[in-house]
Amino acid sequence: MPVRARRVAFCLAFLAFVCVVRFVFAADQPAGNTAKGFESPLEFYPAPHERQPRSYLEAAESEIGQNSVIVLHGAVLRTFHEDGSREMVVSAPLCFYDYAQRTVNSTGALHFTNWDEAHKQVVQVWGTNGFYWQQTNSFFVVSNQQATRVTGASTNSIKP
Amino acid sequence: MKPFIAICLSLIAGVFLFAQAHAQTSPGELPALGTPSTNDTVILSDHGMEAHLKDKTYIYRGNVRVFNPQMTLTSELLTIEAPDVTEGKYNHVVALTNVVVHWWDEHGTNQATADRVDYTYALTNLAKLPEKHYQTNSTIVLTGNGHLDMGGKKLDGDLITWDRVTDVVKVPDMKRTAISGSNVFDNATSPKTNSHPK
Repeated sequence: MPVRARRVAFCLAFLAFVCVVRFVFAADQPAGNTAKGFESPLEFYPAPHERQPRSYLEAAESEIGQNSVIVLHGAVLRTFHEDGSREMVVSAPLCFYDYAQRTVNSTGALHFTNWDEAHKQVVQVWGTNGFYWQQTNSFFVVSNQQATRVTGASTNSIKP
Repeated sequence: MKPFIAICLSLIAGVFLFAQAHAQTSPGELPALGTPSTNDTVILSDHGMEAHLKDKTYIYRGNVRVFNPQMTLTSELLTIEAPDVTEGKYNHVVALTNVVVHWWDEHGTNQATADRVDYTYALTNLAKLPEKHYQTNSTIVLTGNGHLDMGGKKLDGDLITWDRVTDVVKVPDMKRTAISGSNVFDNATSPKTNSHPK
């Protein structure tokens, strides 16, 4: 085979490789108006703690959806107590923030952590079928099968 | 022949990258928490969990299973209330429908079954602050087809109340009792109050 034909064949092979790789990564990218690095406080405490966020949502990537919904990839939802101490963290690879309804939900995997500093307990929940969080009344639901682990010493001693 | 091999290698590399990319983004699976070996408590359920964070109330639904080094519990619904109180502590746990509890103590393996089991723990300061005089209340109430089997002592009744502080079991409408598996009393002859044998 002449040198020129070899070069052409090599270029064709390289182009095929590039096309396959591009197809692979394009398949994972969300369509539409995507933006990187979504970060937003959702709600603040009233005065005198008006600078203290009650809930905070961040994601690696966001996409404007329909009907006041933002699609979030690699999302982390955090809530805080009035003194700034952590209350809960929910992480999910994919979830939906409805800014009109003030809810965050997903249909897939999630990991929820809730800290109870007073009782020195940590509640962790793993789920595979999604969650629903209502901002207005701190209501959190895990769908279907879930596993909870409560860590921390039991303090229900009969003698104080 | 060489260009064909190069194209094939490129395609294989592409397929490998595709598979790897999708393996990284596959949905997570529930961790195999199993029976905890530490003081941790594991709760599994098939129809989800509700957390009312303001009230510190958790509700589990559907084939609920609780594992703790001291006990296991199964039921269809489980509600755990652990609200913040200004002084002391208050916990209330309600298990509903086909409730089965196993726990281990000096009697060996014990079992309680009922339609509903309530566990209440309250630590109350009876004195005025800054004085502190705490009173502990810890009760377990079995309601509906209650059955208690503690180290061979068996009690049946629609309402069984076990005061864990005084270790007294009360069965107002006792259906049947069997002590050490030998003496069985029916409702007509049984006493109205039973003190749990030490």
